[in-house]
Amino acid sequence: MGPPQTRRRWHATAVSLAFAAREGATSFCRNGLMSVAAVLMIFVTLLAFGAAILVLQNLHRVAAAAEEQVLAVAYLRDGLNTRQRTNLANRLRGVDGVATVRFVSRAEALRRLEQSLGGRVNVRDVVRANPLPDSMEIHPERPGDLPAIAEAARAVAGVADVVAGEEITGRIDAAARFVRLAGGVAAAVLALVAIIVILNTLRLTIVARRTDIEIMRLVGATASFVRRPFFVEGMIQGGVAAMAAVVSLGAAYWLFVTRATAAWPFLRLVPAAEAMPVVAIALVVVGLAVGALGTAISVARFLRTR
Amino acid sequence: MPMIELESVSKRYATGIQALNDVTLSVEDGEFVFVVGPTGTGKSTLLRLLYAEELPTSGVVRVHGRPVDARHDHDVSALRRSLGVVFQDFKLLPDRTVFDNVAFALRVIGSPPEWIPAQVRQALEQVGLADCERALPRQLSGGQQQKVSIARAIVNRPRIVLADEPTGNLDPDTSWDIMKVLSRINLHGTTLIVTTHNKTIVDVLRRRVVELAGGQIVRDERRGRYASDLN
Repeated sequence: MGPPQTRRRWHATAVSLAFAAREGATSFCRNGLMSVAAVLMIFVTLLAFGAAILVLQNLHRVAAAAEEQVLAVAYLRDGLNTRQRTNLANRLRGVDGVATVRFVSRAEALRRLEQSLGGRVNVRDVVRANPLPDSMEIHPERPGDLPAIAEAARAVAGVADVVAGEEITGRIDAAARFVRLAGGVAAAVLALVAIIVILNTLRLTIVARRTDIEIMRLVGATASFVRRPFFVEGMIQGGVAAMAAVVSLGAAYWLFVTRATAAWPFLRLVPAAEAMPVVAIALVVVGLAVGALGTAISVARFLRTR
Repeated sequence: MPMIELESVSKRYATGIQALNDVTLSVEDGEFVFVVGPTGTGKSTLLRLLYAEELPTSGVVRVHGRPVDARHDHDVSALRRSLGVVFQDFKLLPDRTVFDNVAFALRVIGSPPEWIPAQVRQALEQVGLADCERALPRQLSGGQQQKVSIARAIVNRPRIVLADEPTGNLDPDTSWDIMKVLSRINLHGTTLIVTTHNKTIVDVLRRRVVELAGGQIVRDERRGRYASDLN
């Protein structure tokens, strides 16, 4: 137990914090319409921000998937036996910059084609014999090495043709970089817009309450004491809006992913369970922080002595 | 030691308006002072300087013998806790009861919650509103609202009460009622400074009268009237 002065100070702090929490919560309820308007405004803004994060996550996945697709396919001549195919694979593995070489039989190629069509088309109903050749999938260590690898693979005996899509590969590489950069910039701009909109919304709620602030100051409340209830109220507004945005966005995204992947199986969307934790943390942090800081900044202008 | 002192105080607003010009004034403990004069002569500015809502452009303002220092937030708060301020427009919180409006003044200065009810009821009794504590301001007359404002000003038992046109919005009978309440507070030893345009009240009560004109004190009489006897 500390000396009486310390105890008194602790008691005063506890009383002041209790007042701030009670006043903040009471004001939130008492200013019903204003609180609802502020929460709605923050909710809509956070919804847009959260949607941007979801889009960014999916773009990131598309870019990563596109980079994984950077490979050269060496189609083999018909009639090669197992030993010849093994020798050919070994020669390809010896080419500079090659990471992996994998044999894909014509049967496997056909199966993949049917899978990519959603299993709804049986190719054998269309053509009697499998028209696809055996092939080797060559993955480069770096996407930039692909043109040289393709050139070297073309010279290997037993290779009929090499499709590397050098031009497309270059474009994928550039597009992936652009998508990441543009997505990042868009999310940052949206975050900034969200912060500005929330600050302005909170400023309006504070302007409507300037009499409260004036009276608090006139009866001798310190600036920090005046700020605290508004700080709590701002956090409640931001927190409620963020939580509502997380729940709505989570439900909408889950529904979207479920329906979209059912309709278009080739879509590789980030599952809701994987995407939403990041969104939830971002929205709650932005909602609480901007709510609290926004009110503190807005209140400050009413606390100045002229 | 004077309760309130202004030493060569001038106040010029950013707009260029010279509200006060070289004002020197001293008010003793327990005095009742009327500040009179036409609109725009600096009466409200004088009060605002006393509760540090404004800072003087030059000169020194002292309250309780200490210079008013608005540079530090804690000094301003400490000063305002030692004063009660009453306004023409009452400045009540419309969505709170009479009790809560008065208690607000104690809550925001961190008074122990267990002290608050007794102090609020005592202040309401002093202004004659003991039976209205659950009412909202809009359910009260103008005079009753002003009494709530006075109760809020005295609930912290300040030694000085400043009233800026406390009867400005009230009819004559209600104005008298308010002045009786303020006089009672002064009888308990509280120093009172009241700005007013109410000639009758000033002439009947015959208290100290300080007249401002053009931002300067042009008359200071111990038991004065609203207008100078020379006029």
